[in-house]
Amino acid sequence: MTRASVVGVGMTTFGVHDQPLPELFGQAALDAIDDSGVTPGDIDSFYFGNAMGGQTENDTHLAPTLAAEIGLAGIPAQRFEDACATSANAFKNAVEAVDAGIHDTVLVGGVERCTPETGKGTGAMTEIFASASHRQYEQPTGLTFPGVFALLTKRHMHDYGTTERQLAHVAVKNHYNGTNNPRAHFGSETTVEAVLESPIVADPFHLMDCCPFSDGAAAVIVTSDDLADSYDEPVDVTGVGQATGRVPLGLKSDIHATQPARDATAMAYEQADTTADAVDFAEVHDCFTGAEILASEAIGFFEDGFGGPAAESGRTEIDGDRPINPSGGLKAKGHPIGATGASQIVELTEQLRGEAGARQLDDPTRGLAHNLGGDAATTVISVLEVRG
Amino acid sequence: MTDAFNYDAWATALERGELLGGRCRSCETTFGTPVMVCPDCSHRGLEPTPLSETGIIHTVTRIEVAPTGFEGPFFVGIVELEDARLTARIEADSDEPEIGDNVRFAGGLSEAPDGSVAPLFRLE
Repeated sequence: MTRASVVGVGMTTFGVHDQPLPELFGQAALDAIDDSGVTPGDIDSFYFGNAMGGQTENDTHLAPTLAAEIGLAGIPAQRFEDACATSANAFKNAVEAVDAGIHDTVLVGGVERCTPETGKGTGAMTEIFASASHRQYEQPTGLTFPGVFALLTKRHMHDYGTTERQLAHVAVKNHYNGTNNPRAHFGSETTVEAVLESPIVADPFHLMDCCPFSDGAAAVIVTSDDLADSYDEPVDVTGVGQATGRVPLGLKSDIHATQPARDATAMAYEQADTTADAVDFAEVHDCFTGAEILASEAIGFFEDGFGGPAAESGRTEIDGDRPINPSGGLKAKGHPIGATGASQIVELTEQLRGEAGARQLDDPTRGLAHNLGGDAATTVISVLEVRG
Repeated sequence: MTDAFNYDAWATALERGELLGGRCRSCETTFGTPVMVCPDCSHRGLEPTPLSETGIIHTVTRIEVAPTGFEGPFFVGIVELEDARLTARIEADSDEPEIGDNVRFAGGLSEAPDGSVAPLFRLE
């Protein structure tokens, strides 16, 4: 059943940007407003995501500031923070508010800057990212975010025989997809050998297994099922699930199951009255290559332990039977933390409208977005469909 | 609750070289770190209990790119003790620690820039 519809999308290129956050977000938001054709006075509320602006550039209280920048001062505006799942959480709350009849039409989006444009280098940014691990029981060990996903992936490799080559295939595939995405941070192909020869960040992850630090913004206009037909190209949101899990890692019973992703997927599929087999493609949270393997299993595209072989055999490529991350994913498109979840909704919408250009899939009718936060302790799963 | 097993009790013990976990007073499950409500049975109040000082590596990574204030490379892992799991720094003289290797508790490590303590284990 349709819970709400996406009727407009916009995003900046992901990469390096020197504009302040309000201007960077403003570009994406105005593009989404123009794409939808909505009269700005009809926007009832603003659901906004930014994860780390306070830490990275001493910039907080951003929701009203950004609303004011684009002429929306006055409407209710709220900011969400959920580590890397920040703007998917904003999207979830927006869909729920529209579905419940609280608002008719809302602006949803996120913005973040993570490159040295913030004045912060790799060490400082690694420290800020590590703030999403447990402050008392994990940060004092020196655990980093590549380290968190390395711990999950190493255990997956141990239990299922997943290999570094299989991980590298995820990077190769996503880099290739990125070459067909004009908004991607990386526009160049890579090879398995180049990935495996790049320096180690946290084993088994080489530098080329890791997504980049990116700047960027993404925004979408969400409206009610009743109003959707008054817009040109609505795409329906039929399911949005979110679940959380135990923190710190030591309390999780099965660390590579990423259980919140499985729970959120079950909720989203139930709402959408669908199954993994009926989903044509997915945008998943490949902050590290291993994370894409875990995600591909958590959303039910592959049985547990088969995510690695599936990546190596090409099944997740754009012309495979289970395409994952046609946008290039976080790995190639880039990962401006608070903008990532909204950018996945942008990609789903463009694919379902048939507007994805050189990376267009063959007539998809249903797509899934998997946006994960922290040590996999939060995941938001969204199912979008061509309007029936 | 004056006798609550909390972060301060856990960290103070660790600084003394003592590894405490929390045991649920109701379902008797033990956890490697304090938590106010039992994750398994929702009972309020865990009591401190000494954890076994030997265990095996459940998973481990060699961190090369460290946060500001730390110097890589070093090993961080999840250690599986007889009664609980916890995240810890793992020290090895020459060998690379691997999943399944035996480790022994070696006290508290205060390498973090703010001096906060982390459990340290050594490869056996």
